[in-house]
Amino acid sequence: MKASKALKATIGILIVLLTFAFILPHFAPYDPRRWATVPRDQPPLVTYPFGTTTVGQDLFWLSSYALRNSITLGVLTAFVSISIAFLLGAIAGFTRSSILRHTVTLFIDSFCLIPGLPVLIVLAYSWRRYLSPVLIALILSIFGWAWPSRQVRSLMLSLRERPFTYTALLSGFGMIRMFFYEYLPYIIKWLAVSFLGLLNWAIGMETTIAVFGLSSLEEATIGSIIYWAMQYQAVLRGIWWWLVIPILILMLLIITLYELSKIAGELIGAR
Amino acid sequence: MKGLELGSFKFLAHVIGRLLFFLLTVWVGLTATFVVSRASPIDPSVILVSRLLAMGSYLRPEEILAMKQQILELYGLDKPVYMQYLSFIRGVLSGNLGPSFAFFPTPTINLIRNSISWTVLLLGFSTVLSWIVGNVIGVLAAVFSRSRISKALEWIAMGLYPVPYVIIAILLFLFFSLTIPMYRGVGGGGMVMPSLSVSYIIEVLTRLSVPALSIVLVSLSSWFLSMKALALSVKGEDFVSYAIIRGLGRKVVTKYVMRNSLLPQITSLALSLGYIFNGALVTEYIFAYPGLGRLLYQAITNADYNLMLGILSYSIIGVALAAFVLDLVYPLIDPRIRYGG
Repeated sequence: MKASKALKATIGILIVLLTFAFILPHFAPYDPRRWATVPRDQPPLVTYPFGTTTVGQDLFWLSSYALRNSITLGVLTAFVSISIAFLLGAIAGFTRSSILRHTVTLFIDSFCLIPGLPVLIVLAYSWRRYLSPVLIALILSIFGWAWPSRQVRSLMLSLRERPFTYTALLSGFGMIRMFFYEYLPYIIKWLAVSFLGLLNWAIGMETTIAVFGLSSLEEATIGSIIYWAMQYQAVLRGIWWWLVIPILILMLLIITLYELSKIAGELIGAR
Repeated sequence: MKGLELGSFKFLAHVIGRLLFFLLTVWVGLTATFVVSRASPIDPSVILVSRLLAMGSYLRPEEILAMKQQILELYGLDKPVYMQYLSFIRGVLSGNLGPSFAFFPTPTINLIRNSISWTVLLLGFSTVLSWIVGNVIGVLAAVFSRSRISKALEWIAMGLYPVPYVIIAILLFLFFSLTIPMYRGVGGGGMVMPSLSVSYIIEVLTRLSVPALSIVLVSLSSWFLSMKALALSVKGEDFVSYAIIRGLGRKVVTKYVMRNSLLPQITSLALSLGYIFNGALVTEYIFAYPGLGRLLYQAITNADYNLMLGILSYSIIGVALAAFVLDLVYPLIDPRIRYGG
């Protein structure tokens, strides 16, 4: 009972966030990215529920745009990363060639270890003129796949050692058929959970490189709002809402997604 | 005796395996760096020329020529790609990465050397602290899993764990700069000359404390959560139940559980060093801590491409080296590796 209550609350918050991000922008009375559309530095009150920025943007509509872009970027990153992770993890866990297996495993492990942030920063820096949410998603995917790939590999290895695998093989069930009919359904559920984890990672990482000034700064994302708020010294000038509101939205989204992935993980574990 | 010989052979095999992994990681990382620098739409020599024009007047022609020559040697732009690759690797290994564009003609390696000790200090301090404290609290929370404190700690950790480093760092920065008026001044100070005086040590500790706190908060909660989960599964095993039935005290049981759940934590510490390093870069930048993170930000704002590639290359080598050292310690903690099964 308690778990289902938590699930309901999580899904409820998620629906609110998704509505805010994907349905609301269609009703925006003006392009929220444009400067000087509303009075500057207005605190959050009835007219501007989230306040306005120093350059005259309405933070309510701006953050709804930003949330849409951040989530889209995260979904794209997670999708590309999961595909690479599955491919390499499956090779590392499934192949019979021991040289191939060891090489791929070492490759995955070294990508887990290499500090991704400086690489991403240099990459984002050299492509900064072309940065769009899509390009950022592709750049983030270069490192996103490594950890899930490691987990796919160990999942495969443990599946191969289970008694049902031996029973099936000895009964004349081919390894390829085994892979598609028995392993894949299990792994896909598991991938769904790590998809949520990657989504979180990507949104956080975009915010991180944005704080270094290396996201698509003209296009609104949660990270770029935080960047501009810091550039304009918002909090020290008393315009705290410019920084606090995007941070609150981000934290709400990330904790909700984390809770969701935990609940989903428990559902799979229970099976 | 036979067991011991087998053991030392296994230890050697372990060391060699880890050494290969270290070399491979460095190789993959440096190759990635090379690909990143080649796949970029910007030409370093164009940046160089524009920087020279911007600073123009006080550079002598021979200095320009020397710099161009060095850039040509470093990037080997007229040679085929594999030669460029080899000379890049050679440059990184010999520490000859050319001059920094922004602080010309200081070699990039000198700037990195000045900052890296600060980063190592921050990383070492916060990683060791959060790992030890997180694991100890994690085991205790698992042994006393019914207590209220254990549950409360888990709630806090679960709220903190998914939040990105950068957010925690910004929030802490806001908190300290709004509550302690002095803090703003401390964070943004210039370089301090190292000396063996009390004031220097106090200065270092003041600078270290808040960035370290932000790293500790995030990684502590992650170690706590994984340790608690591990310890709970060990606690359910037969030998622990037997120990409890035998009437062994809580202290002994805690020790049993601790020793048996530490090993996976060491493996994951070695693998997550890169991730922790990322966090250190972020907090250093936010708190203006004089380490690699701030240097990287300076490199970005000054369009100092050389310095960026240098920081990138040595970060990879540094993290891989740290993981390698940690892997060598592993057999000291896991007797199964030493004595062979």
